Amino acid sequence: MRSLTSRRVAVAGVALSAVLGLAGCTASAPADSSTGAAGSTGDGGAALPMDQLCGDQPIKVAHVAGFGANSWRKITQAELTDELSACPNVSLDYTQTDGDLQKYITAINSYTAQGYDAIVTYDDFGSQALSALKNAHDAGVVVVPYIADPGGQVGSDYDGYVQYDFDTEGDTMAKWLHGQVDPGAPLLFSGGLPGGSPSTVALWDGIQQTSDELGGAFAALTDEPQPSGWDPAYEQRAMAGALTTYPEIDALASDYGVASKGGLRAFVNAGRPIPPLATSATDNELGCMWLQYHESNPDFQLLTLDGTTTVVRIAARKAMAAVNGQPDNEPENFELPTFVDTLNGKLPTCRDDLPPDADLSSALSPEQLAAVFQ
Amino acid sequence: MTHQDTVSIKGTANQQDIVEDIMNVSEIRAQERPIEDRHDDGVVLALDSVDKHYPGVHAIKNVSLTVRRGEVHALVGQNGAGKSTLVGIAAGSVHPDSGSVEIGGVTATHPSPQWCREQGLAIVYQEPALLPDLTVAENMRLSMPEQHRPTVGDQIAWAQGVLGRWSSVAAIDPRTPVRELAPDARFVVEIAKALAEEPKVIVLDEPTEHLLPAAVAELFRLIAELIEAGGAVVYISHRLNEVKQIAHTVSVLRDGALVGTFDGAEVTEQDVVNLVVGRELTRAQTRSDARAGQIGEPLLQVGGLSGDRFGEVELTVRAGEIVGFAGVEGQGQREVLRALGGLVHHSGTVSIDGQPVKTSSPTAALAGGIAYLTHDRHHEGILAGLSLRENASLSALRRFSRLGVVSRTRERRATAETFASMRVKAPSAEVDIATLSGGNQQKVVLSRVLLTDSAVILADEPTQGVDIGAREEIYTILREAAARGAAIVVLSSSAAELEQLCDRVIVFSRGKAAKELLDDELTEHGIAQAALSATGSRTTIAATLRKVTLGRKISRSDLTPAAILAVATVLLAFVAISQSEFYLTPRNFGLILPLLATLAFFAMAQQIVMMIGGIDLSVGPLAGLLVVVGSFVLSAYKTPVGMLIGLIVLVVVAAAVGAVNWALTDVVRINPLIATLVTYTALQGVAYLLRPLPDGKIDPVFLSYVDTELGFVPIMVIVAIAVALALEFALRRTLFGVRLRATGSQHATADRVGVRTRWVTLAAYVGCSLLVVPAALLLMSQAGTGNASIGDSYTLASIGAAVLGGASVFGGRGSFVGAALGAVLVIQINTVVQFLGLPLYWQQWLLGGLTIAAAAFYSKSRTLAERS
Repeated sequence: MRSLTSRRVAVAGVALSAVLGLAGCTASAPADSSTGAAGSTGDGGAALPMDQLCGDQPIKVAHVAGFGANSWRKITQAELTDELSACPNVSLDYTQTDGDLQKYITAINSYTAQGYDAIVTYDDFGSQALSALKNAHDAGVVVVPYIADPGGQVGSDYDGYVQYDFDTEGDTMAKWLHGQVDPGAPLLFSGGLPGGSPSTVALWDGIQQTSDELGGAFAALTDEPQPSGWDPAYEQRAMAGALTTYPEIDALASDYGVASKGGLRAFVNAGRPIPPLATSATDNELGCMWLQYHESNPDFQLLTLDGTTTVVRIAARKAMAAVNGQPDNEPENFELPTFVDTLNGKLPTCRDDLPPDADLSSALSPEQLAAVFQ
Repeated sequence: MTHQDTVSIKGTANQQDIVEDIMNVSEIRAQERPIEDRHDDGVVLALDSVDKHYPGVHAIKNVSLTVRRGEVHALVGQNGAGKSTLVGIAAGSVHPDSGSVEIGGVTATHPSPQWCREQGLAIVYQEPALLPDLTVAENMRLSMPEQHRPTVGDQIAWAQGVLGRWSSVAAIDPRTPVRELAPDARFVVEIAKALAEEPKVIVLDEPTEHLLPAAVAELFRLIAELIEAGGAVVYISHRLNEVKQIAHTVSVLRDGALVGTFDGAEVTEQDVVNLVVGRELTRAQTRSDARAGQIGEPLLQVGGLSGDRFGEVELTVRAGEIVGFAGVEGQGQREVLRALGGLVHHSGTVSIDGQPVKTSSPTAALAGGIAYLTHDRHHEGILAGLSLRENASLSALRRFSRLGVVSRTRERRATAETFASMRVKAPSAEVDIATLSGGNQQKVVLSRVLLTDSAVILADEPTQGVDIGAREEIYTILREAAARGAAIVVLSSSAAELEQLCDRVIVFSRGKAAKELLDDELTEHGIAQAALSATGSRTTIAATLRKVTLGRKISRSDLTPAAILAVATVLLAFVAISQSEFYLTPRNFGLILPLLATLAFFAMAQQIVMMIGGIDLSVGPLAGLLVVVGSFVLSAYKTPVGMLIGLIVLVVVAAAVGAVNWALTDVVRINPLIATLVTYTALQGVAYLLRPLPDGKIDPVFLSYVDTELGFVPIMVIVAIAVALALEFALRRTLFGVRLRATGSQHATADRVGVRTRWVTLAAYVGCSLLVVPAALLLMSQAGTGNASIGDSYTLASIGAAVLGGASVFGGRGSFVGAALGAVLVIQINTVVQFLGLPLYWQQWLLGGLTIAAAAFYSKSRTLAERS
């Protein structure tokens, strides 16, 4: 009989989970984010459409995403494919790395080593992967990260970058909510991973700045954003906790409307009236939920700042311009258009013919959108 | 597993009286032959008034014992009399509550195993203190005292020389890992090792239990030589004829007290028996005298039973009959018995009462009514850590349960009855079985078999390691079971035992039932003669469990995984080269290699801790913390001195974390999995506290040093290779490396042979953390800023790579080159999948499949060895 058998079994268990980890049960990464940090703008001319940026040489473009297993990422890839379809000389390859930093770096490295002309990338790992992007840039590959900030400088670390315009986004949300609640109303802001995702924090800063300018429009219920994990189930749990902690929540804001569906369900389950919600990056189902619940919840108004999946098109045009030596007149800060504003007559729709998680603000046609989810 | 003798609960009042009578006799005798003054020159070992309590028992009661040069001093007593505890005190592995130990004229009150060995005391334990994952030569070298220890280069030749004296008994290759040795060969190694220490006094605890007659003869010859040369021997044995044969002096222990010390030439065997048992023991009853029931109809019927080591065995055992299996060791009799018990693969038919019974597994056999009592109590019999009650009722739980719920009352009642009828001596039925003496453990294991109420009982060496008194009791128990109508098969190497117990004896030769002995032929002499004449003399021990083929040699090497990984990596490279012109380019390698170096450092770090049977989950967050700390202490721009100080800070932080991990696992004794999970979380917390968001630019000049390349090869890759080779060399060829493996192989045994496992464990955890430092430097250059979460994913990756490289999660095995190559293969798979444009799930498929295959393959040989 060997002693310590139980310990050995336990150790064996860890080894097994290590195996499973290698085999792919890696943690999931953010579903979506918007990001901070200001960048430079174009040189003043008009932005060129894709078909004028094609050039005449065969061009290999790679799209690398740190995570790919949700509808937003799938739509984004479809948008990119659609955008580049304007250029018959361009081929596109796509890799998503399951939230694994090492695989992400390996993917960037191998596209670099294989002589791709451009890499368009969603860097879910921020500055942890910066050196890989810089290596690619230094090797002569055009590198254009979008939305998630790798933390470097355009020009020295990569060739272009585009993100949401945060200050404007926060300002729009704050002012819209301010019109519906009393000054100093308790506000709960949800988003990002525990520990504070940079893009979430940036949007939160934007909201608070406007709140201050308005003379303390809101009383923030939490100092830091309440984490949502960018996941509806996660947010539902977090919100259920918040509902027991805070007897009064008059206004909701978030950076990911898909996750906010979970927050709304927590309100419904708790039998509490749903307050107005300002959010971004939404889907078909959120519209359906508003249509279902707004009559029984008179305060439930909805503002969505959308078009988030189209940002990758800007990144693609930046990349093509750089590959072909054309001027890059695309913005670095993309102002998200208002897609739904129930206060001002922009009512959401609920499309039975599309999946619940389809982003209706996408630039794709309904047919293309439906194809993404087949 | 050490087994401490404990003192039994006393027997009946009547016995007590007899005990006192005999005590008086022995006291008179002791006075007649007073022990000489212990300070004369001849004393090599003296125990002075040693006393030892265990919870609930007074194990050693103020015992003083003197052993002189040139004598064989036998120590006899029942199981549980305190013999093993007493010699444990002499050898430093048991600490007495009071009293002192004097070896070679030097006295100590709390001797350590090392001290005792250095003073010239060698001990051979009942269970060999050998580390399964070390080779024979490494084991022998490890436990040598400093002055006799050969150099690493000489150890094979030295071990061959030492074992050469036993070559007539067993041909043992010193390069064989001990886990592959047969049990009796292990004993030969253990004894040879002890003799090689050239001890002033050697303690042999039941040395002949596992040895064949030829080996016993050889042992006695060597003992005589040792005595001739002025050595001394303390000899513990149940076999009184042996004691009588070689002992100059006999000391009798009973219930932890010394009954007396006698001149070997003047006491008779019967005297000793009476002193040991504390009562007069009548001459053994024979089977015919003791038969209580009638032999009935055929119950067990076996037809055409064939297996690896036996063939076409036909056997019928009737209800109420006890059949003996005899034969020279290794003639297939044990395999036949184990086959019937479902433990050995076989073909043929088995039926009970005309109903066919499946014997494909022990469970099936048990369900069919066949219960097997193992000969290997330590490995197959007892479940250490469980109570007597649980050990006894385990196979019969169904009897005590309804709808899967065990009725504790019925279980207690049944086990209590059985223990009482068997006279199991223990403080209570709820104590850990490991605290019992061998004989009592055997009774509990036998209880388990009897509680199943099986129609057929297969008893393999039912009285092995059991003293005379208990032996008679076990005979009675078996006879009673037969009288109740069970069919019993007993395998025993003692012809006397078979004579006493059996109605019929079958003698095996070369896997066949060669002869059947009945009635008048059934005598001790008859059995022995039949066994010998049937077999011809076979006197050598098969050294290893299985034939050592070239294939086995290759598959058992700890470096084989490394070779397999290297081949897999190269094959994948060829695939990639054939598919992509970009693979074999300096650019590609320049990009891959830093990743490789990072994972290699992590894998080697993990391997150090896994080598001692631990695990460190905190390596990932530690790297994150070091990167964060680096963003403060190595911030831009530092002087060279500033950089050096920064590096020193990182090393200190890492070492401190390693020390904390060690303290939690080894001092506080938390399972390493839990302990390092705690540090995992704590380190993440500290790192996030210091840098909630990635921030703090790390000195680019310093990072440019980290990123230095020779050609397209980063300097850190070269460092990683150098570290792997250096650690591998240290593991194989230095004493520290052997101690590291010894600690992981079997912690308790390593302690016993004098390895300071506590410090080895500290070194392993600190070493692991220190190897994370270079990995953290690479991560710093990857991120350029302080980033708390950057290392997290490396925890699981490091374990995976180490397992691929052949690390055993049970410790003792693995290699650093293997771990590094495990890292290479992981990176290679990720890269090649990317180059082939395969969907990313191929990375998971390949890596997951390979890792599972590797873990399964590597553990296979180990499992075989542990079954031995």
